[in-house]
Amino acid sequence: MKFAGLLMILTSCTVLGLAAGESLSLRYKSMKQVSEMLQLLQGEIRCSYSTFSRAFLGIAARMPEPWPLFLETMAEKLDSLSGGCFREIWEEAVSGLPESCGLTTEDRRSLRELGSGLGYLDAQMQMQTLSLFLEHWKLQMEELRQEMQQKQRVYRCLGVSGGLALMLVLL
Amino acid sequence: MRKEELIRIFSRKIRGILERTSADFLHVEEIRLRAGKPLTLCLNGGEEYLDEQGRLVPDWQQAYQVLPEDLAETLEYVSHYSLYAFEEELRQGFITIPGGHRVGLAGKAVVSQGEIRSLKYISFINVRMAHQVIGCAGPILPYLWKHDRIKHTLIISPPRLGKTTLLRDMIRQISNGDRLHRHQTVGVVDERSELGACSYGVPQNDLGLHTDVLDSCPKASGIRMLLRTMSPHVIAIDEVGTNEDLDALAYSMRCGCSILATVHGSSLQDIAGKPVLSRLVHEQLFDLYVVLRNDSRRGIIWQVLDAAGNQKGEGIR
Repeated sequence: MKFAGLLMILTSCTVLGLAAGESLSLRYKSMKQVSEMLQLLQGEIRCSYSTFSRAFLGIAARMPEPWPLFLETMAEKLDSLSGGCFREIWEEAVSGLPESCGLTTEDRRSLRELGSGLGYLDAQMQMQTLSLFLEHWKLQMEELRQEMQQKQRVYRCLGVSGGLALMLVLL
Repeated sequence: MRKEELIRIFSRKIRGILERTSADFLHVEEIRLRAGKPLTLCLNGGEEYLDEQGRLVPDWQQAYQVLPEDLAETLEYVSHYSLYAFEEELRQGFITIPGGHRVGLAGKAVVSQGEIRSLKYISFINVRMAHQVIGCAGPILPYLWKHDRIKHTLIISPPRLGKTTLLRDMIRQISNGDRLHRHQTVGVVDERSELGACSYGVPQNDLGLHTDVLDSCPKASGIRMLLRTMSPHVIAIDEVGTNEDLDALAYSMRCGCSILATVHGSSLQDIAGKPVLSRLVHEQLFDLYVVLRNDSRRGIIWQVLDAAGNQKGEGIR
């Protein structure tokens, strides 16, 4: 019985380590999706001069979950003309992203700040705002990619060794 | 468009005032917003002011004074938070919204190399309600048909007598056809979005079942594009003015396409005396002229003339 309990502790700690590593992969995947989404938005603005709501609806069909809901909510709120500026609507939509999307608090803050630069002046201004954001965003992605393998290994080791240490203490 | 839908484009403050007003929106011609000036409704040919409670007041000092924030907010809503998507419209000074209503804008023009690049400090907004007069071309249309084809027809009229409204209804009726005539495919080059009043490319005015619209496109290149791509029986354009337009018209006539066009002028002689437009008359490009004029006693009179200027018919609109 005792042995079974110890085995369960070891398994749990290992899974925790794996999960911590996996959350990094999920964050990277989400950041990549945001980057793709904004590149599509740039395309919509550059090629067809679509309004934000039209562009968001067009992009929604091409994005995996949870982004279609985010984009459709944005389009709906913009079209409803119910008040508030673009920044407020954008910030509200970013805050409504589910926890499971993998973005950290810092990522969400960056994404929220993007809203204050959009909807202002001409198409060139929108393109520059998006390009600047994407440049910064991709740097963060690159940093994460470089750290990811190393950190995942550390998390796995910490999980297993933490479990073993606990086992030894409890023996 | 219903009142509720239209007033959504205004700032929340003005929206509230318009919601409370008892003014009949069916008769409202324009809603004017000027920074620091009274909120104005143009109806039944006159102007009235609205106070904060939405009451029509004759004294402008009692009226609600429009704030710059109202204009900025209204502009955000008109452009759906995407002013960049309306750069070309800004250059022209208006944005067409769903329902075909035209939002005219004025402020400081940004000029580059002698051309208007954009508008900034937009301090004047004029929302002009779209009005279609379905059936107004009915009495004139029989003169236009020659068997199953439409004659090359030019509408000559001074401003504000309804030449665009007349052309729009001609397009609609020709495109739909009638008991005696088969419908025609009509191509419309709508440079100023006045005929179709397209919003996101979709005509908000009824232009008939067999009409293709090229919106916000320069007339000369639009005519050539339509000829190549949509094979129209009839091409319709509003306000012919330049030599390029005339060349494109002549080209499409040679391609066997009928032309419906309008031009500013008071009579056939007036057109014949103008530098560029005289070509229309001297080269007898058109088979038929429809001349509109205002008679203070009788109202708006239409007159149909043949290529030689002989009267074929007359009536009152």
